[in-house]
Amino acid sequence: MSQQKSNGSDRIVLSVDKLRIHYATPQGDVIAVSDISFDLYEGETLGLVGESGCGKSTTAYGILQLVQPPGYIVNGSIEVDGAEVLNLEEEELRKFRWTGLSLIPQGAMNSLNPTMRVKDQIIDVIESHEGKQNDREALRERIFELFQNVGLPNRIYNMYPHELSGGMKQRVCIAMGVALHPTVVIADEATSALDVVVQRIVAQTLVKVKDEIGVSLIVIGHDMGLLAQIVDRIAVMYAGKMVEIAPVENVYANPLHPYTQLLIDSIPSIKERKPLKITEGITHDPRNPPSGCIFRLRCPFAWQHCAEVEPPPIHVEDKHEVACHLYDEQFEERRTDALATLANP
Amino acid sequence: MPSPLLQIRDATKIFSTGGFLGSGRKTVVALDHFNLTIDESPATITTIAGESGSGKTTLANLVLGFIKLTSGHIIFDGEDITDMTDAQLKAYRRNVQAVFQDPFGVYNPFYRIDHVFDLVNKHFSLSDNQSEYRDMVEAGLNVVGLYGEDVLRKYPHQLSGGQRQRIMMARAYMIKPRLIVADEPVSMVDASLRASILDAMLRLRDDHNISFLYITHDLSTAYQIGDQIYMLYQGTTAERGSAMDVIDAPQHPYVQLLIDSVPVPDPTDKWDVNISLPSEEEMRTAASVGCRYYPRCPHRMDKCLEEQPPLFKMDKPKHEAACYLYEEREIAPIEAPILYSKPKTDELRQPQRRSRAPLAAAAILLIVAAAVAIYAINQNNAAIAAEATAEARAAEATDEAIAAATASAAAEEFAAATARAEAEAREPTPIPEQEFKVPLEGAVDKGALALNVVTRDEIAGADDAHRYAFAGLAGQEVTVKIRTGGGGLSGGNLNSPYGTIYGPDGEFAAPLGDTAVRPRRSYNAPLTLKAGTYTIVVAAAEVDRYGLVGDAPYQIEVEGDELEIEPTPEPTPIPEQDFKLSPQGALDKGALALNVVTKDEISGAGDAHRYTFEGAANQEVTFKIRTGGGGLSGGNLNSPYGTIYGPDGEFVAPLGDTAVRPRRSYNAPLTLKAGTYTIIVGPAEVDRYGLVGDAPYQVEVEGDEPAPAPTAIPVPAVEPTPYPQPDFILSPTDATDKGALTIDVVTRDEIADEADKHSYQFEASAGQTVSVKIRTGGGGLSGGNLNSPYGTIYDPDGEFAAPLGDTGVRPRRSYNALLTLKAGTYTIIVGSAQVDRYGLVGDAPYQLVVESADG
Repeated sequence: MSQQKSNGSDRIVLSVDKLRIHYATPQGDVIAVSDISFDLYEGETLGLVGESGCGKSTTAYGILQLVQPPGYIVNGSIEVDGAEVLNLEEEELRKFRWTGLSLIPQGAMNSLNPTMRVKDQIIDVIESHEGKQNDREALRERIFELFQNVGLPNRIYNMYPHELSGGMKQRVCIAMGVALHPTVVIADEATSALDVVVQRIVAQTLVKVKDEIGVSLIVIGHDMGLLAQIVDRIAVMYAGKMVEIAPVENVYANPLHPYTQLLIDSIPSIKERKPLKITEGITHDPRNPPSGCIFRLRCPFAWQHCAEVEPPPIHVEDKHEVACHLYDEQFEERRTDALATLANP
Repeated sequence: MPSPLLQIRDATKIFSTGGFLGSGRKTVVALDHFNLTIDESPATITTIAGESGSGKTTLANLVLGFIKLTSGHIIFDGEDITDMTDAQLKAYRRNVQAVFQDPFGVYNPFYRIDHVFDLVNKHFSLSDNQSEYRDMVEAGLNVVGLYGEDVLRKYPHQLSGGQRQRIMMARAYMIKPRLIVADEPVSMVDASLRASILDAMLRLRDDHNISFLYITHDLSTAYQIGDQIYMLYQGTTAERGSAMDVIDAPQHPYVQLLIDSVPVPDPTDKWDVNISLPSEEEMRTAASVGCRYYPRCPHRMDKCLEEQPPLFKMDKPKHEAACYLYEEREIAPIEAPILYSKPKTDELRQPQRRSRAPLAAAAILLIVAAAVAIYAINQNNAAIAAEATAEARAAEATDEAIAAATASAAAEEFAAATARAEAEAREPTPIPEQEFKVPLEGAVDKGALALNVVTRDEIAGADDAHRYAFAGLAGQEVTVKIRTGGGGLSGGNLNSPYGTIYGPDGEFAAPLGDTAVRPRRSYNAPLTLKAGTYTIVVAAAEVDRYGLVGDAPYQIEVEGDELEIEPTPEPTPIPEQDFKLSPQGALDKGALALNVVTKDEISGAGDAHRYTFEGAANQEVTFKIRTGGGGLSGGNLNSPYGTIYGPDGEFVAPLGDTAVRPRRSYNAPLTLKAGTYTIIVGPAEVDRYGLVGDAPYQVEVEGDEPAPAPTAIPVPAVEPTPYPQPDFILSPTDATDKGALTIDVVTRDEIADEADKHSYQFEASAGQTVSVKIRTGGGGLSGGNLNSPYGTIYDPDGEFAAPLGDTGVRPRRSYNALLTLKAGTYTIIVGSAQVDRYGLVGDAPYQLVVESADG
């Protein structure tokens, strides 16, 4: 199979604008997602990375309108194929969830109903949107085709989830996610509970299905190695903010934001032994984010300006934006110094 | 020769799953004749890697003593752990510490970090001297790169995953173990923070001579810090050697695939082939003899099916791979187990125990002597090897028999109880056999507990179960708790019960819930025990009853006091319908005692109890209702149970429950008009304010002599509390529109002042139906009175219309009953001043909602 990139398209299928999600707590709201904006192009695979708690899953759930109280969407706009999702009524939304947007959840092994056969769960998805399917033979063929897409054998048709391995269950979830040919599929840590070999198979399945069915994909994860293998662009989140979004090659070869640099730097290698680069994870109180730049408390390059002004996203090249003052034209000198420090620590 | 710290020899662990009474039972070989050696010095990090199901967690649990080997030996410091005396085991548990995967689940979120260390001090009696103890904690934290002042007074959620995990390392370090079993310690920690944990491991290894058994599936961290590595495949060692040798140049086909599958963080270097797995059956059923990897192996040969390949020596020292591709190479010898003979007085080793090493090394004794030596040298001499193994197994069998005999004595008492119970049980609910016994003193002592920590693999089988027993005294009150040790509970079942508590007669006593999140009355309500043996079952099989099995380690705790409880008083006889409160009664201070009614009497929908009472003008009385004890259904302890109506049939006040605590709001003294007041208690009152409890109750009217009725001067009418100018005006359209609302969010400080209050107004049209709700923004209400009303709604005439309740918890019919409005301006008052009426002020932000219910 070729992992042919289909990122040539410039048609935007999903546009998230200033999405803000809070969690209410007695001590005040926790800002989980803070005015995030990004576009997803047709046929593209976008990786969403960041530490746990950075808001990447909340972003996904926000896009899917699945934020559970005490979480709530404060503001923002989410357009799929030009249609605003936030305005949808409950019933429209329900329909939309498998046909427009679908989710492959975290820990798929737990998201299947243990008391229903695999086929019934998939039929359930299809029939809940397309009504009762009277041609059972055609329905079966259709499910077999889905199995084919995700590399599952037909014999699991009548099986129960507990008879499947973790990787197979994850692939059943992928099959359900793409059953109605949604515009956008969001895979939330879809492979993180799996062993490397199975993870590789599932990741390859995702890419294959994406290409065959022609959906756009958002992959949420924290494994930078895995994302390097399967995504076209990467959006890096830190404490609810998007700090950098860039084509995957740029992120790994030339990360711009200091946090992205830290992330890339801390990927353990199996090629060479390196001294451990230790960073403290101490972060701010999420109810009281620091003024200015969200990362400045951990940033090696922060200066006064970072505490005063929140860095806007700076467009550095095609599809590559970074929210860091270093890339502001007026601070070019600082940037040169910073890069020099990086080169010769 | 180096003295080994840990030796695992010919270790096999077989799990049985499924089947009933031996039929259709399946066995899974989790570990198959496995060998491993960790040397005493220098300390090393030994990585155990492999996919899930490869046996690596089983190995960790075996070494930690959570489960027992089916055959083989685990020898720590020259002593087989199955042969250890209790004192030796205690020392062993001290010497071998564990660090688990989930750095959050092991903490109790309600305690500060220093609590973790206090517990260690308590359990292991590290130091009685406070300042010495504080220095120990500080030293432990410093080893892992932390400082007490930064972390000790914080709550777990205020620390990063990396810090939490390092604190677990510091905690382990304080006990001065010689081996730490670290089961996936970094897999739930963010990539940018993993290095700090790995660094802590290196420091403990290099500066403090603590070895690690590092269980992981993450080869890259193993590569960065690991010394030796064992690559497991289905319970066998596929390849072992130095971590760098193995990962740089894997020799076994499985290890080659594994290492090739580690995603390279370089988008320009992508996987070039798609791989696939053979079908499940093929993988599971094939190769019960021969190489386990046969079904998946690209190089498989016929020979591979005949016999399991031994470890062959590779080029690098100590690098070995179990694959017939290297058949022509030399077979690596299997090390003989080395046992030390030690004086038993050495058992209670104190922290200074390290002085022991030379002595022990000098006293090496080869117990298995010649046979084992031959076994070691001529491993491929099958006959001798088999003999040695047979001998070892025979010894094992004897041990098991002895163990079984001792265990049976302990179990006898319980077995008898079970037999009795089964004979008497109303429905056949067989109590499964007991596996663990919660000590009697444990159940009696406050704080006694700490049964066990078990991992998910142990109870993965459908028929698997853990059973615990504890002895209860008559009338004793205990709380049975279960804590799940980790984050892995599926899908929000955090509050689900995980097991069942059975009483001495085999009857269902209570489900067993999770208290990790918050105290849950229903599951963890204190149980009042009978005398006898209680059984707790936690298991997958319990799914049918109350058990949901979490996939994380857990801990059971039985907490209770020694309590002699007098029997509950008998309810007094059921009274007749319709009672008249004597006016004298009402006038006399302390007069009352209406009666006691049982729930059955008022279970009919139209049923109600009515009481009347003569009030005098300006007389002040207090109406109280007491529920006769224990059992109000649905947890509505704070709900009103009835309604007090005035002489004109008007609503005067709800009738509340005073059994729990004095509740000013419901029992505020009422100033009466002259005339007959009526109290109604019953289900019919549900529409207004009454909620019927299912327990006996007692109504009471307490009051003073009425003030001498002034004849000449007219009595001023009872003024409704004058409202202040409204702070906020609710638009009438808002009030009628579906979903219109959102008055304001206010913090406690704003209404902290005694006289402070917020008032709101909205315009209503006649006959309009609305529901008025208040939402408190969070859990911070004082005193847990989540169900209390927080304010009052007044109608356009200044009359009380309804109390304003909290809907944050769940829809509460009583407080948020639909109001049918008159035309005019309604006023809502929220504030401390309302305490006299119905308002109780929450100390959290709140939000008011007026929603139209029309159409």
